Amino acid sequence: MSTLNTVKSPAMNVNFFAFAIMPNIKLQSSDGETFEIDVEIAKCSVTIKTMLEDLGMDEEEEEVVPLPNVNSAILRKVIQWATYHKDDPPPPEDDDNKEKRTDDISSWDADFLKVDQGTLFELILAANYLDIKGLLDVTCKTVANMIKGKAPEEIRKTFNIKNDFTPSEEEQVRKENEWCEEK
Amino acid sequence: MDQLPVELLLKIVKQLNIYDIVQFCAVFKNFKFLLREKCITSSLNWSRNFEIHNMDLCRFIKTEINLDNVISLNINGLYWIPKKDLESLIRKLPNLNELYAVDTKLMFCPKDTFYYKLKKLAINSSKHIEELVPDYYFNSLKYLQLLLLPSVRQMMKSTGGSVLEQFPNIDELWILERSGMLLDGVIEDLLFNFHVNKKLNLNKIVLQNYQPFGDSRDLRKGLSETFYSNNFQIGFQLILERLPPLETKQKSIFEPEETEFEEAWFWLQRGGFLFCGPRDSKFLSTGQTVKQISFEELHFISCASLKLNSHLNQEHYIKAALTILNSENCKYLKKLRINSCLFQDLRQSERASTEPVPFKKPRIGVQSVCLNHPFQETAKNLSNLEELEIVSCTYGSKTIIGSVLCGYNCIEEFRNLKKLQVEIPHVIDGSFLINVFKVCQNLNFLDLTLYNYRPGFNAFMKNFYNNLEFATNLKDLRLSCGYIDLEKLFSNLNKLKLHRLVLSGNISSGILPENVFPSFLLAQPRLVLFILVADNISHTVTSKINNLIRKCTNKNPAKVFSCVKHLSKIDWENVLIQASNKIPIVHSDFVHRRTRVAVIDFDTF
Repeated sequence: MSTLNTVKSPAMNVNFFAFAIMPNIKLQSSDGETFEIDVEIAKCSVTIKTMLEDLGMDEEEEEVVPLPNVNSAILRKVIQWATYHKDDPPPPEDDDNKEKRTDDISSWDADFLKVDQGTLFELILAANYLDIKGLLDVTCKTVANMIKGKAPEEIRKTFNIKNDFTPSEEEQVRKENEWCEEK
Repeated sequence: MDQLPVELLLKIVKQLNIYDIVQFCAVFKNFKFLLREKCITSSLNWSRNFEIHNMDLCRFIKTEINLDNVISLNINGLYWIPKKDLESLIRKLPNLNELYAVDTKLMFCPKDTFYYKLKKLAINSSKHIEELVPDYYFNSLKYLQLLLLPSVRQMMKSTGGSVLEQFPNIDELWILERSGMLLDGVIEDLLFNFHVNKKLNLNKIVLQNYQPFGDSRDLRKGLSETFYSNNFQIGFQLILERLPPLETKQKSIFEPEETEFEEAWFWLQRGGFLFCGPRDSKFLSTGQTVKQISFEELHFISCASLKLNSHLNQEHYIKAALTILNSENCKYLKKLRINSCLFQDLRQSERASTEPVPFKKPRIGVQSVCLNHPFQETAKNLSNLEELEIVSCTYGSKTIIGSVLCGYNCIEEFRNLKKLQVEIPHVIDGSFLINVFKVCQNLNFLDLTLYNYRPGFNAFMKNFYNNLEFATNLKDLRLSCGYIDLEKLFSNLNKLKLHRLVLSGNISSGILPENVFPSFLLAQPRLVLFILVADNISHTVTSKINNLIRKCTNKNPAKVFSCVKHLSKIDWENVLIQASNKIPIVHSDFVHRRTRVAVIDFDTF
């Protein structure tokens, strides 16, 4: 198991609370692993933030927040992302009029997202469930970049998608999209 | 992918441009609903998308997309769509706020009422705008916040720069000057007007000029004086092409000479050897103290330093340039323009006096494999590079030429390369290109220039022709060399799907088979631009070829196929207004091989 923020012993916790400015919080993944992280980092997730505010958090309590939709491997990635981005300004609101850009993924994020497709999609789902806008944006952009400039058949190949069109249906679509295809 | 909830699918698709969305809709059944979603079709961007030249774009928008949804339309560079179609389309878009239509058949004419609601407008202006338009028309454009006008000089000159006053709400002004004339006077006029007229809310001026600003010291001085005198709101940005960051009040972003990097940076900047891209400049000119910056574009050869080509060969220059390129700050560099003298192995020249040089006389046609080439490390650091331009180093002692030639083998280290522009030294055999084709699978733009081409020497061209098929994603190809074997080239290009092809060089003076051009051009349905520049053929042959290839356009106004004797004969002037067989200005950068490094890109900036 990872050494990343594994649960500290009670003795250490006492010590920790005596000196730390920020309290910690424990998150439990779907497969039962517990992660202890800074509350401020956890609050990147609007879901967790709302949960804490609604429940009213008591620092002394040893409550564990269960996250049944996220497994430990993905949660570890999410925490890694949130830790790196903890000082970021809040992401701007979606503006449909704004120019679409997918090449503005920061270099750290690009490296961070060099993962297999399964992980990438799980990260999207986790970011959505935890409501972390920055992570959701950057993962969606990464997938969009994988689609860009590809013909339908190439997209199917990239994402390992089975073609659900019958040949005649496909012919129909091709006719409709003639300008995209070759004449 | 198909298991994602619809809201997440929409979030991904939202990032795509409309062309990709239409492709994506054909991946699954029932995906067509995506085209009806407001969040997806509110902003339609077809900017310079030559792939759609077979389609009736206006009809597609009218039939497939909910017209009420469209807020922003970008049709920059779609030069073939008739003016009346565009006008009728725009009239049918009730909620359009932004129109980007540079280099289309649309011309700025404020008499047309459909411009009145627009907040952002990018469009060509007809030459004598001020004669056509009384002041009160300008006042109708009161919502305009962003205006982009190519070739604004004429307009500024005749109105004394007062045009700006006509746009009370303008927030950003973008000017793209293509006439090639210096913009210095215009900038001063603009800034002066700015001073006088405090009503303006202008926050950003972006200027692009085909003449680099960088060498004009007076201009730079004048600018920084105006800039910092007063009257400018905080956050005002002036972005010029290839102008080193203005000297700010604060000493600098990099405190000088603390590290090797800073020392190298200052030395190169002072010498006028190095420019960074517009985004980098913008970042550097914020005046904050910056210790670390991720450069996006670096341009190591300025016009001034080209005249001093021999300076580029100095050890000091090379060491400084490599220090910059090897640093953390360049790890995410996207565009780079260098001189091939950076390839030389300085270690080698140091020991040249005592040890024999491995490549005393470069052997023609033999692959020169060099292990542990010093540039390899640099190339590894720049693994995110997408555009690379290499200018051939013309000065250099014989002792270094071996390591310079070996340096070309390092290009394959740039796995993410999309665009490559290289001047090929005449002794290189082209084996480096084979690896580039095989390894750099994203390569879609290739521009090769061979100087001093010798008829007897054809190892490079042979390697080039025979391996073209491996460059599977190549879309734009530009080739200039002494002699081009058209039959061989065409037969090797057949497996590729090209968009643009420009060939410059002598062609076989013998009689070409009638079907060489038609059989190639008709097998390339995506090709929109084909220019053949051949000096050695007669006018009769030129017009014969022109007749042949023009038939292959199938009367599609997007397709431009032409054969000329000299590049300079190409008529770019008024190309959008006049006859259809002229070459659209959109392609001029490609045909005239202009650098794209440290250049303001109006599509993405």
